[in-house]
Amino acid sequence: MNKQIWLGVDVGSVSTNLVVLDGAGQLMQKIYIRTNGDPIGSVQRALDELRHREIETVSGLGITGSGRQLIAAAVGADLVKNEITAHAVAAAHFYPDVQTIMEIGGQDSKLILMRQGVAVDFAMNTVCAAGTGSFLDQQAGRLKLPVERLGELALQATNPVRIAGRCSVFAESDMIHKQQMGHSLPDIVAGLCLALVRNFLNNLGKGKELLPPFVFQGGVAANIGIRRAFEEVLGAEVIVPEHYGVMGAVGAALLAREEMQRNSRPTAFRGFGLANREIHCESLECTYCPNHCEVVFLQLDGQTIAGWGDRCGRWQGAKKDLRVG
Amino acid sequence: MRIGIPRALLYHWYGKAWESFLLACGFTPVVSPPTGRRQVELGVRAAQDEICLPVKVFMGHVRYLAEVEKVDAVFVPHQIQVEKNRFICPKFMGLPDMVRAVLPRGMPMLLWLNDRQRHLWSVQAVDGQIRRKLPKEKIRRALSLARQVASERWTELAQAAGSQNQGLQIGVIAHPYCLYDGHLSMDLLGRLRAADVQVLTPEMTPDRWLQAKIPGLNKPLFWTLGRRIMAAALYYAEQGVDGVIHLAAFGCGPESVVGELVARRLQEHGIPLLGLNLDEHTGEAGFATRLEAFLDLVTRRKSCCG
Repeated sequence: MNKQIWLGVDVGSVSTNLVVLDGAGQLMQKIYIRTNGDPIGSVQRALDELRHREIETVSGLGITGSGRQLIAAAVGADLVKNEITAHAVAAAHFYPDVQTIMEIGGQDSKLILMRQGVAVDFAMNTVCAAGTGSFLDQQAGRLKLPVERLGELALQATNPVRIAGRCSVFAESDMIHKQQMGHSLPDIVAGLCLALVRNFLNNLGKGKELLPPFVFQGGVAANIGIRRAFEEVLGAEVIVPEHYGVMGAVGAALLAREEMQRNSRPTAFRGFGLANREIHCESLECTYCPNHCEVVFLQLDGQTIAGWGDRCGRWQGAKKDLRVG
Repeated sequence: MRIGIPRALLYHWYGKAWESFLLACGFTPVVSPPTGRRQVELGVRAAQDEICLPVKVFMGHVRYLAEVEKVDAVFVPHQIQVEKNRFICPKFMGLPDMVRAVLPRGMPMLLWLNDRQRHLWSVQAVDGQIRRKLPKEKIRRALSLARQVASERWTELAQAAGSQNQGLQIGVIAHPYCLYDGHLSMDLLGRLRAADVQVLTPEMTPDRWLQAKIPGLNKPLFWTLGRRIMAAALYYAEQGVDGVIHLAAFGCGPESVVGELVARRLQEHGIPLLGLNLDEHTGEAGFATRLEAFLDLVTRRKSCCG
């Protein structure tokens, strides 16, 4: 029997991640690149990079993340899953007894409660992006610091200041105020971490029973300051998985494996050659009805292969199975 | 005379009855088209900011009828009570006044009044011109016809919709104007049906559940819609549904209380609950992600824990 290779892709707002798992679900390769507003280009770059790492035949590919629909149509996916399920499956794969998962990504954050290896409840931030990676990015930029350094800076704090974490606009003006008052940078950054963690737990954890073991994943888990703040507020150890930044992609790959093992079929993946093909999107405002849906068409080498964005399904044609939802 | 009926709020329960009432009175009923972006935009611009989305959408339908359909009058359901000792929410009580602020000057309203103090079913024409066309006897006959149509509609709503397969069974709790408005609900029922889920709705709750005392509450819930939601949740729990989805309009007062009561009860029964809130900023992507994740959760839970 051939060696199995499973690909997982997580197309997020800030980063695009690609992982390669072997048949046993062990991580063999991972690629983490910034999406920079170009999901298709970033996936092409990731595929191109993998091509040079001599990957054998792919058994299946799963996709998750906010750009999942677009990328699934472009690369040919065997499975398209939401980020919540993907993160839950990945965490349970490495930590079967996990009971609480905190995931903070570029633009959204999630709290997933697990019992006996299955998700029993979840919450996702709604319209507000306070406390997510983008906000940290922005604040680091304002302080002229690389975002990677925020965490270690927070650890140097002796007396974290109080910052309002309810809203990123208020948090920012609070931080400026504290700077003007003469508080040290580490104290302010540590205060920010605590504020974000409290905001996360108040918003998403309201009324929920948060039990250890806690697993913290997503890009923001790189920030040791946030991890410490979680440990302080929760009063328990918080585990950050080795591959915290690509857990969504790992989950997508695991789900693709599960799906393909259930219904054996050849993979829909169009191959690593996609990196050099022309993938292009066009959009229009449909005028058939007063809803004026914004419809997007995906073209591969000049041929339209999928369309979506319409509420009525008029433009989706045979590609209905690729709808989000 | 063309009288516009806004396809919003309790239209989803009584709309057919109102149409047949107007027809029987010799008017031409004009029903606004199903909610779309147009009505939402018109309504959000016209209504006060604090009001819930369904009422804003109602105002959008009223404006659509007045400005696009150019009807001669607008039919406004002024529903305070549709059953004994229970009430519809205060926003329904103030509906005619809110509509008056939105209507073009001089456009008449035909009020459909449900109020226990007078009669559960009665009609009031604010405008003299309409009133002259409506002799008492004519109203009486039209009302009895409308009542019959309403009960047929009710039977239709109460019948189990969706597939009867052995797959997932999900109970949905929501006010009818959220649930049956495909635009507001982001086609929740259609999405569930597409996922091959057997759906239970509040309208399918047997009467005895609605009449029974709610254990643990020392006072009866006096909101008609909230009471139905509470009873439906308890009924679903007893039916052993795999999960419950609560679709609520942001800013709905009664729902904020009932929703919490429901959440606690379902937790005691160990039934997963997904709360979805609707307002004019609700994004479809987040909605679809949550729904999909919830169905995954319920499916995985069922296959592993039996």
